[in-house]
Amino acid sequence: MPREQLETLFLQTLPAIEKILGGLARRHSLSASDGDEFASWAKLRLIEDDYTIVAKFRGDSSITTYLTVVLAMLYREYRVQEWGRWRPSAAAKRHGGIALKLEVLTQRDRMPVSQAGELLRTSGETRLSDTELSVIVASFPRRSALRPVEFGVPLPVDVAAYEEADEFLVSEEALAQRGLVQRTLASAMEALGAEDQLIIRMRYMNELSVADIARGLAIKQKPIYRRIERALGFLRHRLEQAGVSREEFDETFGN
Amino acid sequence: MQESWKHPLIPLKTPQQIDPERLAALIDGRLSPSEAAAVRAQLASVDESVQSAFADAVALSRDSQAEGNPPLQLARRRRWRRALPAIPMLAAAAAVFFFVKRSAPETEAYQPGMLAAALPASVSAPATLPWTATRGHDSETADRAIAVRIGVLLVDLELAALRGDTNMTAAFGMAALLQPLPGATAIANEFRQYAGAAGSGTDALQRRRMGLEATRVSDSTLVALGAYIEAARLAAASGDSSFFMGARNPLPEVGTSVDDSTQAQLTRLRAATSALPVPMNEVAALLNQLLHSLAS
Repeated sequence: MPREQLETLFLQTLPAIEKILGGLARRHSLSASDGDEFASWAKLRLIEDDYTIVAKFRGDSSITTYLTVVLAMLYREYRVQEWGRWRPSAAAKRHGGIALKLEVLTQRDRMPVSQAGELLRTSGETRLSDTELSVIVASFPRRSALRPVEFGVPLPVDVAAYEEADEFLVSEEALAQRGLVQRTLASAMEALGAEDQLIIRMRYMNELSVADIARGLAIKQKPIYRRIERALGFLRHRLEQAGVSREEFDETFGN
Repeated sequence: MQESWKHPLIPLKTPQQIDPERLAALIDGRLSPSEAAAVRAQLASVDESVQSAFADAVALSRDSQAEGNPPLQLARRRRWRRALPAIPMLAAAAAVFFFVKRSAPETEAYQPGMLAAALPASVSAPATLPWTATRGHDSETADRAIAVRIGVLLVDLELAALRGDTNMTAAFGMAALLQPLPGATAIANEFRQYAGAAGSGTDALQRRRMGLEATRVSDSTLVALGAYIEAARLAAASGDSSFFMGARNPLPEVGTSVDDSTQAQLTRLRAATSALPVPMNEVAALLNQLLHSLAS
């Protein structure tokens, strides 16, 4: 297709592109400036090399959905490019789940614990207090920043904030148990079929409804309910064998 | 032959690569069950970051529709609903068009338009291609299959336009089929543009011109056969036996354009469609067999 026609197609789809980019920014809680920065970068990627990405569209899907998938993938690429390849520490892996996200926010992005905690609580990813989160953060190894850090950024941890030594101990016990749950869960997940793992991740990590999963994967809803139920039953059994209570399991999966 | 999964545009930092358009087609529900299963299997085996990107796309495509900003198809359907009062006039125009085409010399008739107009109102253009493999630029699809597919898609395109549906499966399919054909780049681009604009700004005469141009770059006899098979297949699937009655929608004569086996199938089909009552199940089965053998 000649460049002029590709340009026309790009301009025709620009409103949809803007909407997708806005949706991605909201979904990943990007600030207005970060969202704008990503949007500029993504649009540049779409038009560079004479609209190569647009030109590769074959028509097997709607153009809007194609662009949605491409931009969602570009977002991952942008993050890798912007922040480098972040690898979680052994401590974060040991705690699992929320610790992995907390490490990203406090260590990679240099966000204060209070701000990271607020973000994670607002998005419904944790109910832990700043004090409890600080205990997790204290276990992370210190790393140099991947991006220039402005002078005066507060240290992520303020262990002196603990008024009672007992509170620290209780939190540590709770964290150790949470780490056990996460490790056992990760191991049990591997025993599931690949497609069941995908469905469980989409449901509980990406927080998609069963209706969305069904639509996205082109599977009927009813079998998905059955598969989720069966997979959760299997995971619960494995976790109970490892000493994890039903309540802890339910808390992990938000049941 | 199915295209490679590799997509050169998205250099994912994982051992496996996945074609974003296949994922998009999965979300849009445009893949056959076997194709969808293959994409799901691949998706389940790739890096979690790709799975998360896919989940984002699923969520965003839902949000887009919920906010009233659906893909172009639905938006245009609403515009079509606003045009409901004009339907009687359009129907009259279609009838005149049909009459004129019937009276015109065979070479000037636009068969896909006539066939689509002959289908009952309950029949819509298929949302998915009636063959399982996706053929692309590097495809070695036989000329015969390309010609038959062009005929099939031209009927689907006309049907979508008649129903005010912006399902662009046929238009995009046309662009993909025509692109590699010698001398067809311009018309392939026109179909791609038509699809990109969800058909807006293109009237029946322009579609007819595009269809005739597409027919000229292929074997017109087989295009006509493909168009008949598709329309007849849709009619049979809807249980509309009137489509086959009389000489209204004749099965095209294909001469030596097809092999003996296909000739035999066509003879059986001709006999079945001439029977009273028309054995619809048998006709539907024969048409599906024909499509499978000719378009694959």
